[in-house]
Amino acid sequence: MTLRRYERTRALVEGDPALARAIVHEVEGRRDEGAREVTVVDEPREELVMVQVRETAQGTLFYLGEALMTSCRVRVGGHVGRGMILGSDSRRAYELAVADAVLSAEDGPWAAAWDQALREELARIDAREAAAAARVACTKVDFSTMRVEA
Amino acid sequence: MGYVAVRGGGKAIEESLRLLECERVQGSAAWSVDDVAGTFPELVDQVMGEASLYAPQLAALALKQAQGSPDEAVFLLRAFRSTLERPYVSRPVDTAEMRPDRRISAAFKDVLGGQILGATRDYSHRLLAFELAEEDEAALSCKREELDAHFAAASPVSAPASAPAPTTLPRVLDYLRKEGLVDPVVPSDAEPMDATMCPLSFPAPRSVRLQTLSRGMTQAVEALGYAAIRGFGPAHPTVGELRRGLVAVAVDHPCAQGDPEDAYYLGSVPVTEVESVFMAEGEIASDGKDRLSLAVGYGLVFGRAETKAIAMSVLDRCLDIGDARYPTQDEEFVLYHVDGVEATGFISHLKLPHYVTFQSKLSSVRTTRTSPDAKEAEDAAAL
Repeated sequence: MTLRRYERTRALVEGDPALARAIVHEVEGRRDEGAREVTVVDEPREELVMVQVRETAQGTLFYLGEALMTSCRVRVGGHVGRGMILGSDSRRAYELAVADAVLSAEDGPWAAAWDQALREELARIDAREAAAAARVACTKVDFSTMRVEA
Repeated sequence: MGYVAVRGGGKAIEESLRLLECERVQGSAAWSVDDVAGTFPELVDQVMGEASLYAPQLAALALKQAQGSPDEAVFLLRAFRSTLERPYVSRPVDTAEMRPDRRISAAFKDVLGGQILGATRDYSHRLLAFELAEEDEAALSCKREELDAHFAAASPVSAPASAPAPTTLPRVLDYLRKEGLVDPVVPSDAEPMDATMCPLSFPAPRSVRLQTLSRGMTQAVEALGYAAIRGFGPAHPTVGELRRGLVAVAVDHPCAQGDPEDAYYLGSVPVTEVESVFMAEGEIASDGKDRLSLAVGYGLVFGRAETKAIAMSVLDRCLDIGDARYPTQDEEFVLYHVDGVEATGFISHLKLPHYVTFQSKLSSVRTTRTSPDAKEAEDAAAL
């Protein structure tokens, strides 16, 4: 089974931007064959996402605040794809949208073809996060209790 | 009495803005937005928190434009945010999934996962580091390399066989919840109210309270939280847990609402979360004796604003008690006055011309000062 959308987008957003770019290049490269025309449905634009949080004291939901994001919507063949990323980055929003369109196409060859590369990117991200966690773990307190002298 | 429009001053205002820009460019060293964000990350965090908008580059730009005034930068960001559409609400963030870079508890020494200090200046000497005045790019990159090498050597997982440091941590207060000393959390999916979309009304729903405190002016939230601890509110809190780190922001696919696996991952934002513990009256036991219990106050802010997050958790608890004899427990007092744009906007407006209202005040004062004889003479002259 290929990666679901959450893990896929995590790989593309957190990972090396070259990965999404490579997928786009491949899709656009096939345009000559007329098979994979990319149509931009919604041009990349800056928008806001409201960050909703479940607080842990009473378990209710509240809005922490908004975050700037860029979104884009494209159609590749018969499939619509959305690109969404925090911050202001039109190019990446477009690339993510193209990747989303082809990777979520169940009838296409793309999801299977790129699955391994996406998984490898996730492994690199996890390793990077583990290294950061290890650095933070250096600051873990090692308590020792003072011995009371008789 | 209505307002009277006044004309004039246009030229003076134009020149004033030009002079302001003149002073900015004379003092500026052409810092890029990255320079601002990299040098003053906590100031950028503060501005984003109070503006209620996570956008580090824009916050740094706002600070540059505002010449370092946080109030003004917050105002600029709030104005910018109002120009954008907001089509998305994220999936509820679960802070248990936070990738912490700091996690401490003042309640228990031995917490599961340990006390992790992270990067903090809590234990630093507050001495001016004069060597920073001389620090140049070469010195910086030298220090970078040195510290990177240090942490590469010191990180416990540099030996791959050992168990890797956990990327998420269990909650400290879950221990007390299991024991029944803190009421269990019953998750509610009631849709939150958005304080940016409707004016404050009281009693305010919990969602509005938390949102308002989280976007409150840092120093105002801290001052009121401090006052609450000093005697104008409930007793001393204990920081059950303070955690700081990244939380993931995800948006549902429009055709797959509620499926976390099918959601879009947009990126992560840094937050600081605090759960404070307070003594509270519990239910009355079967033997008729009052039982004490523990209550939790909650604080969550963008970025590294730890003191604000703690103060927020104190005020959250204060407003839960809601004894209006104490100002810090009066939600109208607290929630109306912590917003930076409201406070600075209102106070700033006092600088605008109030010529007519002041004339009216002046004439009232003069009337009380005029002696009856002079008044009669005045009246006669008027006839």
